[in-house]
Amino acid sequence: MLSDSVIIASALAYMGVLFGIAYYGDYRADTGRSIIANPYIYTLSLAIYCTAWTFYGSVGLAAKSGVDFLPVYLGPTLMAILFWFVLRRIVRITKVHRITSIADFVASRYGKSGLLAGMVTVIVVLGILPYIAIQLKAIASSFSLLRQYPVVSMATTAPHPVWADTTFYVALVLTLFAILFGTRHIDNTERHEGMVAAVAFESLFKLVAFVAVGIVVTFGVFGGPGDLFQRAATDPELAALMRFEVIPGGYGGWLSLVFLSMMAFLFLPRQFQVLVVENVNEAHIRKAIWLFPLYLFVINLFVLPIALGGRLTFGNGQVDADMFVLAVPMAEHMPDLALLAFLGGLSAATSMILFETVTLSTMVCNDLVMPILLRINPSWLASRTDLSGLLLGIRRAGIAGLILLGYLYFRFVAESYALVASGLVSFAAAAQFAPPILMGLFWKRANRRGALFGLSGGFLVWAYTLLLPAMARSGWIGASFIEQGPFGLELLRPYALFDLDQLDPYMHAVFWSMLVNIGGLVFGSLLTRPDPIEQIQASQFVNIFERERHDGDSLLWRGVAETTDLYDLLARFLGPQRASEAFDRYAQQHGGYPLQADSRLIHYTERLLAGAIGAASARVMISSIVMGEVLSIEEVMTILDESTQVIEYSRRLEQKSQELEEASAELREANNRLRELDRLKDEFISTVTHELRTPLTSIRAFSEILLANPDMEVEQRGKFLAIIVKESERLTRLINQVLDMAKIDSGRIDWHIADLDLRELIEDAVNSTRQLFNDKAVALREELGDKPVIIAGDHDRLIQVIINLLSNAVKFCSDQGGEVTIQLYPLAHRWRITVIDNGPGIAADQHQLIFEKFHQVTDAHAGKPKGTGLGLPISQKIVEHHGGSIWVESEPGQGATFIVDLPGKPHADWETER
Amino acid sequence: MRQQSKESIIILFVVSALLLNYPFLDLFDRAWLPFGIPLLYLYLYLIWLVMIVLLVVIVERSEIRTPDSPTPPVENTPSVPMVAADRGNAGNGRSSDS
Repeated sequence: MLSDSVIIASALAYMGVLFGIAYYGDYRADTGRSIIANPYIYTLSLAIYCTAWTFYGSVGLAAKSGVDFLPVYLGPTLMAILFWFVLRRIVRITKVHRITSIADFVASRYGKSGLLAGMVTVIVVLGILPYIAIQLKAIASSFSLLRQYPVVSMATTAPHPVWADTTFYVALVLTLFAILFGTRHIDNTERHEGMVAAVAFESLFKLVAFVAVGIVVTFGVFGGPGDLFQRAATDPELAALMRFEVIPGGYGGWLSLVFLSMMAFLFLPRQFQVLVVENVNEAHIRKAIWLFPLYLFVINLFVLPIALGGRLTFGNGQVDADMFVLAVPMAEHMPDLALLAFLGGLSAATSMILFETVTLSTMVCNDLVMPILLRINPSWLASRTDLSGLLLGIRRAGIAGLILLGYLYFRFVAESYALVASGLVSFAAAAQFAPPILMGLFWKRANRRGALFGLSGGFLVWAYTLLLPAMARSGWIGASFIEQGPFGLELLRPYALFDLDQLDPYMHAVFWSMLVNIGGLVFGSLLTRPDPIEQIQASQFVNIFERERHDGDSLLWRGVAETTDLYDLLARFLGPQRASEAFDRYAQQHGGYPLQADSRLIHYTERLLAGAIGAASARVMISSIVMGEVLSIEEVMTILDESTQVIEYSRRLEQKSQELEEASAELREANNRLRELDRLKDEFISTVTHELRTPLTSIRAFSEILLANPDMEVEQRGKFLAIIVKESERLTRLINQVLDMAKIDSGRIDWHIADLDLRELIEDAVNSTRQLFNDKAVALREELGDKPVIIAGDHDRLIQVIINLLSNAVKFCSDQGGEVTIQLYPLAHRWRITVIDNGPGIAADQHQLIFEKFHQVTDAHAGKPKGTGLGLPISQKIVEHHGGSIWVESEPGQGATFIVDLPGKPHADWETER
Repeated sequence: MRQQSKESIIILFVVSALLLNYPFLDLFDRAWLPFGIPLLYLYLYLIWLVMIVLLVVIVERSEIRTPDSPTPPVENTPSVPMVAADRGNAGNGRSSDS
């Protein structure tokens, strides 16, 4: 009843329907009326996650270890809850950067690194082979089981040559189909609307088929779930399946499976393709958040009933539990249902193979072959006018190669494995992308070297702990490799690395590979410095939702290129028609295009190219024709990195506030000085008025006497008049000083600068103060040398300084044995005058203050100041005006030394050492 | 999606992840068949179903289109005219309101 021809005909008919749907989908896409642009098709396309693994393998696993199959679906359910935070971010980034695959995504995030893209591609290809193999295995075993209908027995396991192997022909047909499906033309977005439509149909079909079998088995063969489970519970072996202890990995294994499937669900290449690249509208994600878990729930609802029903129907080992979905309807003599189940399994397996290989071949082409071609022989590529044919050729070869490799893996490694066991090896490989992608989404510092370390380390651990043991089990490496470790090194046993033997193989592999992967990423990123382009990409990825405009990338191309060069480049990869369409669109959006392409047009072309040949290759191609300078780190960071700007801003703010603080401190100090000056001025006024009043009083008193006694003796009158004159002179001197000070302060003084002899000037000053020295019997020693000292200066003012210093020295000299020394000697580039007295000296805290206006050293002996408090300030002003300096060196009780330095070149015959 | 919904989603994720693991699984690992269904199966599928129902409630209750998530236009894809049409309609709706 079910002859080979019927089975094959219905399988081919089913494939024909698929092809029709795909063709229709592409047709609708080309006419702009997409049939996949709704959340339901999107959700159904996500269900490509459910492959033959789900359709056959889940039941097989449930029949052996109960609920162990469930984590693989609970993981994606948990991940679906996080869609809004994780998936939406990835989708947005992908759209903005025109990313076409998972390899492209990782490469783009880490500075458009071609090396990373290639590495991801290699990992994906190696990691996914077991997965493709189990699909082929499922199709082959279901076919060989079904063709024997109504007999239910396992196919002979005797090895047959390749040409007699059904699986080989299945692989051939699928190759043809995948090529027809996936590589009809080069699209610059790598989206395959027709394939997505076909996948959605397949998802619906396998769901219907599986649920149909489930309902018939549960309610037709048995009397509902209650009856089924209760009958199973009477068998102690089956009752054990209802408990947790049959699960090999225990709770830890359960947890690691949940984690693995969460990651694999996002990062298996075909999942990334349907979830991210084929996403038409971000809003569809919202619906998928609950709709997709619902799909998983429904398709898993009947797994346990079918598994237990199968165990009840067949004795242990009579039929491979992986085939229960098919075998139970056959045993119940329901050929139509069996055929439906077969087609359901076929649809689950083919959708995975078709989509996965098309996705992978694109990655192999864009991220592995093209970069290598570009590197090896760029001139050959440059000489070809239309490369789209070459791209298609590479992709077709890629598809054929991948399916062939999958077949070889199936034939030589996986035949002895259950479906799920092989699939988990692939899951663990896909999970290696979780750290670089997820951490790359949220951690800006993650950089290229870190990703390279982590990914390569994780991949090597994965290969060592999962892939090599699988090959060892199939006899490709000595089986002792698993039991005793390589070369008998027990510490390195692949299932118990460093004697960690409490975990099941998958959890063991997940632990070690994640440890190495995350560790490599974190420490690699912390210890190395990223390039500017890495920093830009990192910042764009992490801040994807914070950015209003996403064309920051175009700032990277600062140079110029000929528009025709860009067009030619694009035409080579996309074909002339698509290229001119793209340029027309650009012209529409931006109102024409310039002859010399600006950075915006260059970037536009780069993104289009990235869609066809991957971000890393596109960058190389563009940079070959752009005559530009690479931006310096500083420029790029100032332009792009917002956080840097913020830091810069806050740094300036800090600087400003610091300046403000300094200014206010200065103000406070100035205020204090003002107050001090004010106080001093008050004091001074009282001093001055006192000083003024004393001579005035005597002048007035003597004048009155003279007025009242006109007949005073001449001698007496002369004496009185002399006093009046002297007192008037004193008054005049005082007033002159105050006026001098005011003049100097306001800058209204006239300076008469001329060459003068400093030695002679000092002599003059000494002579005019000689009387003072004689009055107080103070000895004066002059050490002035005997040669003229010519400097430029104002004679009257300088003499005023010297006189002031000398009279001060006399004033403060000891009453007995007073001695003043005045010296003149040269130093390098200046002349020094010192006036040394042997008076009481000046306390250190007064050294500065005595040069303040109105400040007077309070004399403990006299009780009142001896001067006007203006002499030294005036002297200081004068000396400073000559470019010199004046200060005092003194210790209390040791006398005081006033020093004046005046600029001037000492004459050659003066010795400068003294 | 509103802030409140985001928080609910995070809480749902954490609680589900806890409920679907040890030690809760151990609590329901009993040789008992309520309604003829093994307790462990019943527990796992019920939690799963409740998760989905809560997701429906949280997601569908928040606004249809959040202002912070406009889809960036994808050039040269059939979705462009559609998205453009969506926006056109939204724009018209606003202008007629005002």
